[in-house]
Formats: sequence, C-alpha cells, structure tokens
Amino acid sequence: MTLASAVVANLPQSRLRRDALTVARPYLNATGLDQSWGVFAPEPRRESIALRARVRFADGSTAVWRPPAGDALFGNYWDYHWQKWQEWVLDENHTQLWKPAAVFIARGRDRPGRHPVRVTLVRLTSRLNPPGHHPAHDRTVATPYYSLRITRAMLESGGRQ
Amino acid sequence: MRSAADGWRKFWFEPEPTSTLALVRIAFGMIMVGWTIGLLPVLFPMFGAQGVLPRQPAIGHGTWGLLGVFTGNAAVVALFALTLATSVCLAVGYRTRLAAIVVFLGLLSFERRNPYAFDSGDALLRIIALYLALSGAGASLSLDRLRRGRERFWEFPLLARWPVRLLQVQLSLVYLFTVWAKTRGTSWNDGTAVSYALRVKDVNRFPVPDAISTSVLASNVMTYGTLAIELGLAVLVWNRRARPWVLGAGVLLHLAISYSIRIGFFTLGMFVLYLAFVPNETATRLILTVRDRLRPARTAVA
Repeated sequence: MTLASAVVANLPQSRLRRDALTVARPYLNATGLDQSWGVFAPEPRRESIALRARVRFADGSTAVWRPPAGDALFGNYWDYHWQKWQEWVLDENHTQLWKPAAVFIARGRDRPGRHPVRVTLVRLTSRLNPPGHHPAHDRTVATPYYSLRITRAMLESGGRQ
Repeated sequence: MRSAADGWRKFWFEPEPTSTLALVRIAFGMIMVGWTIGLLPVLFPMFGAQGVLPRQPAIGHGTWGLLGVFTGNAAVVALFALTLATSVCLAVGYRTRLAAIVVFLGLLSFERRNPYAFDSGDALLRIIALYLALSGAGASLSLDRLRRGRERFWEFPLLARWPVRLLQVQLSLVYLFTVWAKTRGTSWNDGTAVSYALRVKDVNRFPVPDAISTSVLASNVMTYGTLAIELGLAVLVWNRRARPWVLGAGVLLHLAISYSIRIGFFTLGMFVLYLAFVPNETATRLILTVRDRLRPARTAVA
C-alpha cells in the first residue's frame, strides 16, 4: 500500500494518476508519505528571482526589506526556508501569501515613532540566456506586484487582519 | 508462483543483523539534530502566530499536524524543544521507538504548519523518520541495547529486513521518478539543463566558474552525466557488483550539487538512504573495528 501510493504520487499527469490519487491522497497526506521528486524537473528555472519589499513610513521615509540569508557554508541549512518561501510568495498563483507577508514585513520594521504605512512587494527577475550566449543573464527587472496599506490594527495583530 | 512468493518473503522478511539499521539510525539522528537547530533562526517568522503565515493552511484531504491543533508560539517552542531532544535520543538510541515517533511528528507538524518553507530534502527526512519509527532501529548500538545487558552490547540481533528494504526501495523511487520527470523536459533532452540550474542566482551556494556554467559542452556532459548516474542509481544499485560504483558516483554527484546549489538537507538525506545499502557484514565489521580501536585507548587512559 505504502509503495503503491508512492508510485501513484509520482506518476505523470494523467487520468490514471488523477483517479488513483483520489484514493491514495488521504492516505499519503495522513501518513506523511506524500512525495514528489521532480527536483529541477521537468525544467530548471530559466530565470533568477528575488523578493524585495519597499516599506514606506508615516514620516515619508522608505526602506527596503529582503529575506534573511546566511553564509554559503552553514547558512544553507537554515536560509533555504526563506528561499523556498520566497519562491511561493513570488508565484502569482499563491496570492493568499501576499498579505500576511506584507504585514509580517511591516511588523518587523515597526518602531516607536516610525510606523510603516505601506508595504509593496517587488519581484526581481533576471532571465537566463541559453549556455554559449552572451550575456549569460539579461538585466534584472523590478516589478512591483502587490501593495498593502498598513493599519495600526495590522501591526498589533500580525497577519490576522 | 511459489518461488516468486518465496522470493518476495525473502526480500522483505528474511531476518538479518541490525548493524546497518543502527548506522542508518545514528546518521539520521545526527542529521535531525542539525535540521532542528536549523529551524531556530526561522522559528517564529515561519511558524509563529505573527509570522509570514499566521495559521496552518489546508493543503489537502487527510493533512494534519500538531501545530494545527496547538496554535501559538508556546506550542512552536515546545515542539522545537521536543524534536531536538528526541533527535538526540534517536542518535544515541534511548527509548528509540518513542524518539523516532516524536521526531516524525515534529517533522510532519513543522512541514504542515508552513509547507511553503520546505523542500524535497525535508520530505525525504520525514519519510525516513516514518520508516525508522516503524522499525526496531534501537535493537543494536543503542542505549536501549545497553540497558538490556552491558555484556551483549556489541551483538547485532536479527530482525526482519523490511525497514532497510523500505529505505532501499525509497532510494530507487527517488531516482527513478526524478529521471522520469526530467526526461519530459526540453533542457534535459538538449543537454542544457545543468547550465541553467547552476546559474539560478537565488539558489547558488558556492561559485561555479562561468567557463563551466555557460559552456555548452560542459553543460551537455553534466546534464547527460546526471541522468546516467541517477538512472544507474535507480536500477543498478540492486546489482551487488555495480552497487559500489553507482553509489560512489552518486556521492560525487550529490557533493557537486551540494557545493553549487542551496538544497538544505537533501544531500544528507540521500546519504542516509545510501547507508541502507551498506551490507550487514560490512557494517558489523566497521562497528567492531571502531570498538577495537577505542578499547586500547580507554585501557591506556585507565
């Protein structure tokens, strides 16, 4: 049962997979055996991405927030959580993550006498050219994609607004 | 038909010494200590009530986790402490079954609480934890063994081999399905995939020279080499003669990936699965060699 479910979970998108997963999915989810091994597959990403947040304060000043990152040697073992989260927050199909992200960022920048009033999420993208082409990367493009007016209630209650 | 049934029974249930399982358990326990410590810098931002995801999301039928039931920062801290403590217990084999169950619950609960903060390596650790929780992983080389009798500590009692088999089959599944998924992509077919993977800045770890990452020839070699090694691991790891070679190639592949790309604990998780392929007699010999080397040192100190 366990192995059969694991096989079903990894089948290509098909009628067989859809039908089999309706049976196997609850079992996989309940046991924690849900799995997908499409690492860099079927295609590695063709662009570098990054999340930035522009924070505007009540006094008119601004600041830029970026996800925390550690060093290459040991930081890799904790900052990959931020890297994975960043990928999802930048995804247009996961709009439900945008508001809590903006509120979280605002709370982190909130100081007595310097309160954030707006957070804008910005997507940085740099397209990768095929190997052998120059330049290897296109220039980085910054695209604001979500903006939230921050209220006192949001700052006091986290992302629960 | 009968021989097939006998083969199936032998494959899964033949008793074997638990030395390999002990090595797997110790390595996994140590990795889990590191994994849990790695949560510390992101504990409240990722899992706290005022973090990036205030509530546990509903991500599928049957999904559950302790942090969906016990909400609030106190529960996050308690689960963190419990997971860390039981990871140590798992490594040293103290109340091993209970420790493995709690480690599994910790992994599952953190991953369910914020599924957007985890990658394939974390899923792999969760699956290994479940298999160990089901097994008698504390049967040897453990404090549990020591508590049962000091004089028999260095023995490796026989147990049905299915837990080790599950880990071995899991390794095959990982490689088989990753190759399957890759062959459906264009860049894995035209030999450019690794070049792209090495140049995605947000997942870069240590630098790779442009002469390698942007070279068409180097990319072709690395892309097709990756597919060949992964397919070899999926299939040839079951061949006793080929096994050391494909596992050796796999170690080199994963070290190269781990050097160039930020993939958290994926490499270490895969190496735990590799350990499941160490033959019992080799594992036993290795452990007893370490024991014999430690004994004179202890005598000299005394």
